[in-house]
Amino acid sequence: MTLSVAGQSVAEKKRRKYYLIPTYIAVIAYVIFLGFPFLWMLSTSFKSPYELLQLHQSFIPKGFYWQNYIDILRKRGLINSAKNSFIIASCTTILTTILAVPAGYAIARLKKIFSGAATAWILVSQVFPVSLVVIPLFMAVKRVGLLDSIWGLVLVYLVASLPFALWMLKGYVAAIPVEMEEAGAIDGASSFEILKNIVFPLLLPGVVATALFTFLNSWNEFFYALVLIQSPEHETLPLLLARFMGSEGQVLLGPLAAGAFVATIPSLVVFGFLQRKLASGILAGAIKG
Amino acid sequence: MKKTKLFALIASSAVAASLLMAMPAHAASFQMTYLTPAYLPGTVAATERIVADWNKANPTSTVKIVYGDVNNMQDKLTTAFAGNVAPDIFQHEAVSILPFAKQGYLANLSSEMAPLRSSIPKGLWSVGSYAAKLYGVPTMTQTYTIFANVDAFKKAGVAVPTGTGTFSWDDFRTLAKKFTANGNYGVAWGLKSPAAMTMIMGMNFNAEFFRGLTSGSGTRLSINAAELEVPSRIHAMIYDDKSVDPASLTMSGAGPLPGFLAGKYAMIFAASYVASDLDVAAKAAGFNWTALPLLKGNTTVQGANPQTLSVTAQSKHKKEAAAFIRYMMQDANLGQLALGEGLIPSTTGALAAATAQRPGSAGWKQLFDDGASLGLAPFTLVPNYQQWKDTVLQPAMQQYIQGKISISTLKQRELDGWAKIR
Repeated sequence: MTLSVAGQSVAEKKRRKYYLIPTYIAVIAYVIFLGFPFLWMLSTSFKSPYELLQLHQSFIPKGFYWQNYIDILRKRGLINSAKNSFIIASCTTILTTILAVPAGYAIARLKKIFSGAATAWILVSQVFPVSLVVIPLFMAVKRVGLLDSIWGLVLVYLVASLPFALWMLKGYVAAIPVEMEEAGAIDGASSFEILKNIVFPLLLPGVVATALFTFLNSWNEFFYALVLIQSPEHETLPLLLARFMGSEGQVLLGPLAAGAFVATIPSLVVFGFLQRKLASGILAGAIKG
Repeated sequence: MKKTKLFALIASSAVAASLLMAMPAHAASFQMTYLTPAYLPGTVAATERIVADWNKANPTSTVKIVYGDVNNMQDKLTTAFAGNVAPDIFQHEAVSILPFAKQGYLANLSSEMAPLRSSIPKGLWSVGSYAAKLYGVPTMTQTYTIFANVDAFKKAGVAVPTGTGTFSWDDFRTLAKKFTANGNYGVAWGLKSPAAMTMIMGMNFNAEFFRGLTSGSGTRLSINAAELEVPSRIHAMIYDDKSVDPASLTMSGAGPLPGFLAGKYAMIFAASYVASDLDVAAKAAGFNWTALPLLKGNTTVQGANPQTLSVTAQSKHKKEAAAFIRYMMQDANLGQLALGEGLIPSTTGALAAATAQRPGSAGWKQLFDDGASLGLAPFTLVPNYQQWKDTVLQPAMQQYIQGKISISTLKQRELDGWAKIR
């Protein structure tokens, strides 16, 4: 009986192995599909202006044309723009998370009337198009003396990010059974201990996802930065990269690809770091829960 | 005695103090901001060199460059004006500064730029003006032209047309047909956004589009044979002669360039800025190109929408800002800027300076000679023209070019669209 079970188990394992092959093929194909534009961008960043004018573009550049990188790093101020973008995106993410976690918890757990009103207010705040709010926002930022300042941009991004962050976190909190908190209370845990030891570990993946979303949105945002930033020293990466594109489809493809590649690195690093937390958060929640 | 000494001391101190207070007013230095959409390496280098030279010569009224995005200049300026934080000087395009001039955001430069007037063609000067006042100094502009692969012409034993006013639309059609053979097309034409080009080229056939500009009774759109001549001719070349590569119809203006460099077509129709890319190919691989004379219908006239330099009404240093513009307009400076952009400088002196920097290039010589055919396109002065062009004419013309609608439907859509906007 044991043998037969063991035999079945070996056969089952073999069968599973074969089933996994198409799964792996599909995953590899998907990764190539997702990664190809990135690799093409990397390849383009090493091509000379003449090579980029060729009718048939090769994937491997004919040579390594470093001038694109020299141009964007030395002449176009990419390092400074990347620094500004990083400060702005990081500060926005930290502040949004600090404010959205307790607020999201409150909206999800408090009485329905308050929760409904807050949710409706969040929705309403999202329906106005950017073009409608940009001039009043510009005047408000100017009035508080934060025009042409990276802190002004942090403030605007915080206001812009909060509604969606609240919306996301409210959903994550609602998915945590209230019974778990009640069990903690019966065991004598204080409200703070319940939040710290039960809710937060379970909420961590949601917090990480929200933080990632906020960081990437702030990192890529263009229009508010265009309007609120005046000086080159406060310029963000999207503003810098937009300046490689001219009218009527003209584009400085080599420097643009080099700039875009360098610009991608910090967000990849942040994503790589937070993605590990995303997975560990799920496990931590499961064990402690 | 003591009193006298004390009085003298107080008096001399007061004089010294008042002198000290007065002196900074004369010697105070300030910085002006110059917003420019320059992004091509040649133009950026020229702009930085010019500003550095200015700052060296004018340490009390220096200029700081602020780079803008050419595709978002209007948004940037609109908010800057609304927030009273506009730059002192900015570079933009003539058609787009018109609303700012009407709203009083720009300084009148007529008297400050009077010394330049004789060196700028009348038509270009008018484009930067509103209500007889100059608000944008025209710096450089583009023409729509035909670039030719000289080696392909030589191989086919066809003489390259030269001169001015010598090359008609019919000649172009014949040439395109001649080079259409063995699976190759004679010409590639990036027609992704054909609206502005068809209107500007329509001036070759005296197309007016809008009438009653000065009657006071409102502007009227009128589409007749002259207004439909250019789209009809393009359509005939695409569908009757089959001499235009259909793959190029959905490309942007510079899109067909790689095919042209690969010898796929003998000619491309494009804006003059393409010349700077052709220079890259000529330098790297000896590509032998030239520009053909401007197309002639009844005339060779094309409507111009030049780049302009303006001083904002919010600037506290209008005189100095105007002086900086005059400095930028100096022949060598403007010539270098125009070459960087692949555009045609507006002043006769800068044209000569730019020509001298490209000795022996028949293509550049032709492009610079073509500058004389540029003039005011009256339709650009019509309120709501931009909206009509972008929301009505553009999609209708795209559909006509792609063979989806007839010429009569095109006409009807243009008229109906204007009636709704007006």
